[in-house]
Amino acid sequence: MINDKNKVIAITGTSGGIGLGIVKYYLSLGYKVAGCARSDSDFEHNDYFYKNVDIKEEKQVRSWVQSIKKKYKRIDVLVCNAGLVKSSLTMPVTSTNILQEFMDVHIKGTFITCREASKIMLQQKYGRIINISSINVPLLREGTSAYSGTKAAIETMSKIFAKELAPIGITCNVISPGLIDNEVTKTFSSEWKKNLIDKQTIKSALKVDDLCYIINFLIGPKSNVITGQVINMGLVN
Amino acid sequence: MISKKKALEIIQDSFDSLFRSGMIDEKVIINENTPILGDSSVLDSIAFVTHFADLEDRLINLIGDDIYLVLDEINEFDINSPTLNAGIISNYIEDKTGKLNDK
Repeated sequence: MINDKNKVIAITGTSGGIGLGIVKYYLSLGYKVAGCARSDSDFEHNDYFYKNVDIKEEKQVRSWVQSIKKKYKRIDVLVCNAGLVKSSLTMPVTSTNILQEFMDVHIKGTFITCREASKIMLQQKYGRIINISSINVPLLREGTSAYSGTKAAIETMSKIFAKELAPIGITCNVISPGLIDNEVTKTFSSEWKKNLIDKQTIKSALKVDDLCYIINFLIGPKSNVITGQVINMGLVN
Repeated sequence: MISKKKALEIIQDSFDSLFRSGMIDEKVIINENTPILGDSSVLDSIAFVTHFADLEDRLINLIGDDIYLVLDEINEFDINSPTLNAGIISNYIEDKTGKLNDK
């Protein structure tokens, strides 16, 4: 059995925010962590391998996944966290360019990353994939049609990945966080944040650790039979 | 460039690995006509994707360069009636790795 000190977790979108929070959490548990994002990262740790990757670029994703394999020999866990945060606009004034950006990062980026990592997991006959969605999906929140529509696609893809990969010992689940306190959400307007919290069942902002506890459960040995599920954090829907 | 003969050997190595890992029940001796994908193949869908990922991995290790096997690039591949044999795949590998040298 692989203990946490030998486990390798790959996480996308780790230059800051939730992604960097997940990185620090798993480093504290003794994991080898591989991260990536478009922008540079100044965070360093002996067990942290970081590369600049635009996840909508197939070659870059392949190169990142291959470099993780070269360095750590395996990928036990993949967390597809990379996502776009853009101003909320109602559908009539959402540009095609914005829609395309969401489609490229959320749908294409997640698909390519899962595909490439799953090739390694297939050979290991083991893997845990966690894709990050948003509670804006079940809330059908106004002003998020492009964002939530593409996040919903991640949820549907993940359920199909789960069915396809189950026979080989790979699970794939989705976590949909509510409002999480971090440096990214600090820049959101108070009104926007209050509006989201009012719609959550648990009416408080969440911590990155709350998300990590769920990831931990889903990648742990006691959840071998849980796959294709969407966990909505702080929401009954 | 990887020759067709060498590509067939790589396919054989990959099948041997699948047999050792218990993904296929019988040892298969590969020739050009061995079905890899389709009703006559001993590979189920999971064994096929594992074989394809393994082939890609073996080729990357062998040539030391990134190589990406794409079913759509194989002329004989018809997504509505997907059948492939070892000869078609080895031709594709020969062609694909030959193009790497041209880069």
